[in-house]
Amino acid sequence: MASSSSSSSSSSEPTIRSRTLLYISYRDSRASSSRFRRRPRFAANYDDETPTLEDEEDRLIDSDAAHLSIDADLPPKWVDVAEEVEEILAGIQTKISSLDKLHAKHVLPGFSDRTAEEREIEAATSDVTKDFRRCHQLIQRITVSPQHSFPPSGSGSHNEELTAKNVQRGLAAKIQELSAAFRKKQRVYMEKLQGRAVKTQDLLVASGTLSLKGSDGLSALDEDIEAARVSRSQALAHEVMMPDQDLRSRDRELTEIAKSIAQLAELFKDLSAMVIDQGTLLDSVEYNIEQTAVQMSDAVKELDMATQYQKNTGRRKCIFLLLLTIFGLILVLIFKPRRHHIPSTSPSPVSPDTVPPAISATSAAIARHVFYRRPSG
Amino acid sequence: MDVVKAVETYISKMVSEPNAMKVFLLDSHTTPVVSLATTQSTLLAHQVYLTDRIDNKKRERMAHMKCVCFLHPSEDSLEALEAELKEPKYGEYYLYFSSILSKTVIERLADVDEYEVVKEVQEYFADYAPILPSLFSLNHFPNASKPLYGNSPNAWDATALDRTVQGITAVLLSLKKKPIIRYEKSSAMAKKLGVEIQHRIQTESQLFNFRPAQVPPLLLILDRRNDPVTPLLSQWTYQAMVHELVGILNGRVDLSMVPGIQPELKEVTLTPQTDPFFQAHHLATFGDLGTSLKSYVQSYQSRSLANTPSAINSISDMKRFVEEYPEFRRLGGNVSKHVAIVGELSRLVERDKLLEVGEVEQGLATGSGADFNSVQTVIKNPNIPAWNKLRVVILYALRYQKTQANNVASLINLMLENGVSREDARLVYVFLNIAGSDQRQEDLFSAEALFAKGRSALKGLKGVENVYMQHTPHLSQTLENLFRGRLRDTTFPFLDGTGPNMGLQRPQNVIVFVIGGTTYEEARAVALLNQESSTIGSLSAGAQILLGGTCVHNSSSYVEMIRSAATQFPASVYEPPPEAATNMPSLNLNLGGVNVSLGGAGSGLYRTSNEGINLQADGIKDGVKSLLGKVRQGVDRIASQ
Repeated sequence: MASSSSSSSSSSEPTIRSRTLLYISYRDSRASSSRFRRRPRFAANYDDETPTLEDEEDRLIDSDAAHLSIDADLPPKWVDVAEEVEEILAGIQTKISSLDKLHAKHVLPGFSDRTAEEREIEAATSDVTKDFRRCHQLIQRITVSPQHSFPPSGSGSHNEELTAKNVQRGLAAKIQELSAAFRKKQRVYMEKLQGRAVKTQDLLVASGTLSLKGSDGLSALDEDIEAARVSRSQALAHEVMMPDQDLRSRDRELTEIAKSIAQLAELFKDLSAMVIDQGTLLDSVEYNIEQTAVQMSDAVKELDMATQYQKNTGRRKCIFLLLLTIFGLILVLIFKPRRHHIPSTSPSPVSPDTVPPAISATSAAIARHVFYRRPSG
Repeated sequence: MDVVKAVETYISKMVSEPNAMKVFLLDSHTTPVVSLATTQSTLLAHQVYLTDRIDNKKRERMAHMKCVCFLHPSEDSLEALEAELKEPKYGEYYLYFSSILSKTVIERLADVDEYEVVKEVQEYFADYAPILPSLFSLNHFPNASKPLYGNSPNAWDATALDRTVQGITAVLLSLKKKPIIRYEKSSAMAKKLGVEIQHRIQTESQLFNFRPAQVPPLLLILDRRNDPVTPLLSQWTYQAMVHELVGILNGRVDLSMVPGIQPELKEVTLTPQTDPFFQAHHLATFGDLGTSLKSYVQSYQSRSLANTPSAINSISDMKRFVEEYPEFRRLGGNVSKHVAIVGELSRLVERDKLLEVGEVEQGLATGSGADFNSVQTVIKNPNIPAWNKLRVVILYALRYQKTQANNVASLINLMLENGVSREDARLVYVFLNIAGSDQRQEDLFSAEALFAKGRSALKGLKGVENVYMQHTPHLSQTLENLFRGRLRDTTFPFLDGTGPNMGLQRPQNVIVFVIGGTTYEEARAVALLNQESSTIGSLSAGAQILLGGTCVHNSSSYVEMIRSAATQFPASVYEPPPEAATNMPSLNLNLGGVNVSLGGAGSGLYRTSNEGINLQADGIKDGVKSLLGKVRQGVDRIASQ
């Protein structure tokens, strides 16, 4: 809207009403009325409550709170990783801004010896690049370690998995944005060094007024890689042609920058697989909520299936065992009489001439065997 | 006056509060609101790593996360929240409600919060779906379980009224407007709604304590029944077309029934906020859209593949091109989305012969008129789906209700012979009874007819721009009158009867609310007026208009609403309307085959299809026709004034 500026000044902040105080007053009035029934269960609560007799009598392990207490289980590992990434990112931001100042200083013409300055820039650049790579590695470590514990924690791990994935996506997007800005800064600096024209869009991005996201970022990427390649090859050519110390160091610097741009571009590409593109269905909040519901029901289905299988395996084991015993018994029926036959028939003087065929004799043999053994005990 | 921005501000405020990992819990009512105003990646940037429904019972405990809830204080959501607070799954809770909380509700929640996990309780008035910066919807699609009307077309359903008052109050609060209210005189529902809103403003005077504007903003409450024509027409601009032919629900378009669609395009999002191409072209006509889409595809083509200059001349060419390059598809997901949608639109237009139907519709809806024969040919065409025939007949009936009642009757018969079911055909009378000319406050067509000649002469000079875009919604005329100071107190009275000169003030901020749903065509008219208002000297210079409705209709949802509403109304709604030429009752005999056959047996429908009586009627008619022909014309002229 073109002329909304006039009205937006009066309505820039939509109306909000906080009911927190009222709520807390209600809660407190209820709490004081049932003070002796309710016991504080948070560690944090101990700080602001004056120790009363009641508190002193509190056992360290509250028997009825055990199954309800809030801070019972530790957060998953990736929470720490995510925090680390956030920290590094904050660090990168300050490093970039200080590097910015160095760049600005260095681009200005001057006659003094600037190798120290150059070295500083170089160090800072490689430092930032290293940080980006570290973030990248850390992000890839954010996955839910598959839980093979027994009993399986059920549908819960799905929630955890989803959260981890979202953490990954969110952080990847942040790194991408930051690295794109950094890359642009590097490129603008490089092109200034070379005295080439700088595109206005790049300038805008470098100064932070624009941010590159999604497919825009990807298409800008190719330009960056190309520019880095060109300047590196140029620098190499210079090196061959002019063995002048000063120029050589400057060219070396250019190569360094070009290398860092190229490295970052690679990283950007890697991350792009994780980041959600703007305007796609994945970006829709409603869709994501529906997906969670679908995943939940799927998980429930799987769980049902699993329990069924589990039940079935018990039954199956039973059947298998029975079958095995039957088979075993049959084997016993086939072979045992044979072994017994020889020792039992040879001493028997009753029927030496009528040797029955083995198979027809088996039943008789068993009968005899049982019959003979039972009285013997 | 930008509702999208207002809701966006609310949500970004909500999710930026605790600087830690967060879960964002919503309910069925707030999900579309949040979904329209923000995106998953924005939420991720605010460390919201899990979004879920509050009524999802299978969420697992994550004590290391903090929880932000944004809920509508409905009974369902409150119960779910109580259950949640009794056994908290997350570390801390920040509760935001989309509407005014009563003290009992706060007390109820405080009562179950045994673990003192709740840190904030706030009211954030994002209680409506912001579709465009100047268009909001209350997402109330009436059906049998959620009706809009009570037991007559003049009465509200109690819950619907409550919901609507809440929604509009939220709009006013989020924009910080304390308006004066005008309503359409003929609509009892508009008056009722106005009174309720006024009452709410007075009881919550603390909230509505804004810095008063020089000219107070205006809330204009309209009733869909005064313009039943606009939602029935085929649409020819991008956003309206997609909604009419495919359907946009909360910024999402379901393309799964498109033949041969790629799996990743089965469902797409389509909101101007996230889609630059759509932002630029959602108001464009279908023809312009084709050319801009072509250049869009070509620009991508030249950017990604400069080496293969294949000619792109048609939509099928574009489709082929997009399919051929998977690399390109990844980069240009947006391009392939629009190509798919536009491809589907043009397929549907082709299949349903919408160009032919559209021409007749436009004729019926505007002054140029359409003759009986062209309507008949549409109905007889076997390639046109029954649904479109029904729409054309309803439009014809609304247009020529008084003057050609027997034509209407014969059209209904013809329609029945050509594949329209009796159930559907009955709707023609329902429409005449609910939104016929007796129910409407201003004649939709007469004003057009008066100006028609002048306009067509102008058009003749300019050349007809577009046959399919002749119709302008009644709303734009109302707004024009408003800005010219010609909106009369007698037809659009002020709620609290302020002085006569109030009508002459030109309001700077106008919020238009349409009971019974608005349309994208009207939204387009409003958006264009808003664009125009930035140029000095134009009619609405400096003014900002915001349009809203109980929902945003396309023709099918509108007809469905009327259909389901009619089941609640007295049965007489299905009968042909009695003619209202009170000053000349003797004409009644002549005026309609409908009326002559009223004595016939059977339900409302069969009365008109009684051949024998029609024959007799024709006999009588022929005799009287020549005599009364001129009288009738005279009456029409009177009626039209």
